[in-house]
Amino acid sequence: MSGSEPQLDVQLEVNYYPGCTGRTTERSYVETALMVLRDLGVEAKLREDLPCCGTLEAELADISIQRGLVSIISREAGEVVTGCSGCYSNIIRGGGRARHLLEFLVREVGLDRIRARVKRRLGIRVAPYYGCQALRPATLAIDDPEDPRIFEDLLSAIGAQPVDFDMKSKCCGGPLSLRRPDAAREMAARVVDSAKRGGAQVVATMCNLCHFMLDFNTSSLPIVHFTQLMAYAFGHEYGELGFEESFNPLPKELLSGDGR
Amino acid sequence: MIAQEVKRISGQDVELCYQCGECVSSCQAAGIGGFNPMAMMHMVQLGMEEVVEGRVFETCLHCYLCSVRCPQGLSFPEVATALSNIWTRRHGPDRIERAFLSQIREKGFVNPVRVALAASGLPSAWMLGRGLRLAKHAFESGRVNPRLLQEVRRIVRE
Ligand code: SF4
Ligand code: SF4
Repeated sequence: MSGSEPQLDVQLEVNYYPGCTGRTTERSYVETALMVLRDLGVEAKLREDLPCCGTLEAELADISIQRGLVSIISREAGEVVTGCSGCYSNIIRGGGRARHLLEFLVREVGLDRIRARVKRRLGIRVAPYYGCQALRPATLAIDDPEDPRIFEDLLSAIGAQPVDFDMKSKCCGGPLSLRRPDAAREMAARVVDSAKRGGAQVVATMCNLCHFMLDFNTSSLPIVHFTQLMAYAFGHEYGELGFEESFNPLPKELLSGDGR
Repeated sequence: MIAQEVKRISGQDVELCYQCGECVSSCQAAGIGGFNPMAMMHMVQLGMEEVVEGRVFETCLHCYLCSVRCPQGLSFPEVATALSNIWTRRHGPDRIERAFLSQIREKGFVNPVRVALAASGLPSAWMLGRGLRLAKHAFESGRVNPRLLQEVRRIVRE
């Protein structure tokens, strides 16, 4: 828990679990997550040596496969921090220990320490898209399962303006992307449409799969990993953050709105 | 008995469901291909075989929204998982589960591009257009520790 004073002397160490897409399509999420952790004085070890958590599909085939894979992760790393909500949920539901990156940053590192590190305020309207896997089931919820605030709090701390929208804690369609691609695409589109109606200039995600689903299947708003916004606010150059890897990159002009 | 089997796998006692409709009215997937969690709870109570064989359970997003709203504390996604496990025990992993499991067995990690190709067949619509830009990722094979990979192969057999 954060005190009222930034405690920059506290040294934290974590095992960072990238998630499978963190090694491929969502690499810039992992890279910016590590950047941000480092900036905040957290020593994060990237654990690419650990196997896949099994994903929902292993669980659907046989829950004992999920438990078995998670037991390897737990034995080798103990508690892991991950930015992938899918991995987060799978690891906890499979009997292991995990913390979601966003929750870790807000509650362990603390908003004061984050605010103290901000070099430029972003001044853009951001839709905080939570998705489902870090909010439900209730046993693993990082905040209220239906009306969370933690992502908004983080965005405000880095000088962005969070907007409210109907779909913020609904599903991106990811689990159906291969079984029912049309329905999945429609769900992803509904999320982005809802963010747009809420007045957002950009959608920020906090999950590997959510990011992929929104980015791959829609084209009306820029889609970013929340860590990319944090790293920019912390003073990293636009070109270092992998925005261009996205199908819907955040234009640099949007970021220079309220820079200081 | 399906209800007992579901309970054994998931701990969910479907007999507690009194058909209030909270789950289906919360559900983003309701109606897709006839998907209705409340009706499926009833089918499990009645021991209707088609609740397993029809595979309608696979439309569940596992978003767990119904689980935080059910007045009886039931969790439909866990029932869906149990039904899926029962189906797989009878028939072996379905096409998509197979695509994931074979990736995990091979490299210890899931390459999303390879999984999409394996699950939807070649040439898949998924790989056209924007998918082409993802093709470069098909060669990423991960860096899973070989000792752990051996262990993964004992868990994810055949
Ligand atoms: S919400 Fe619970 S009790 Fe109500 S119909 Fe659904 S499973 Fe049954
Ligand atoms: S977990 Fe499944 S049944 Fe429950 S609300 Fe989500 S999609 Fe519907």
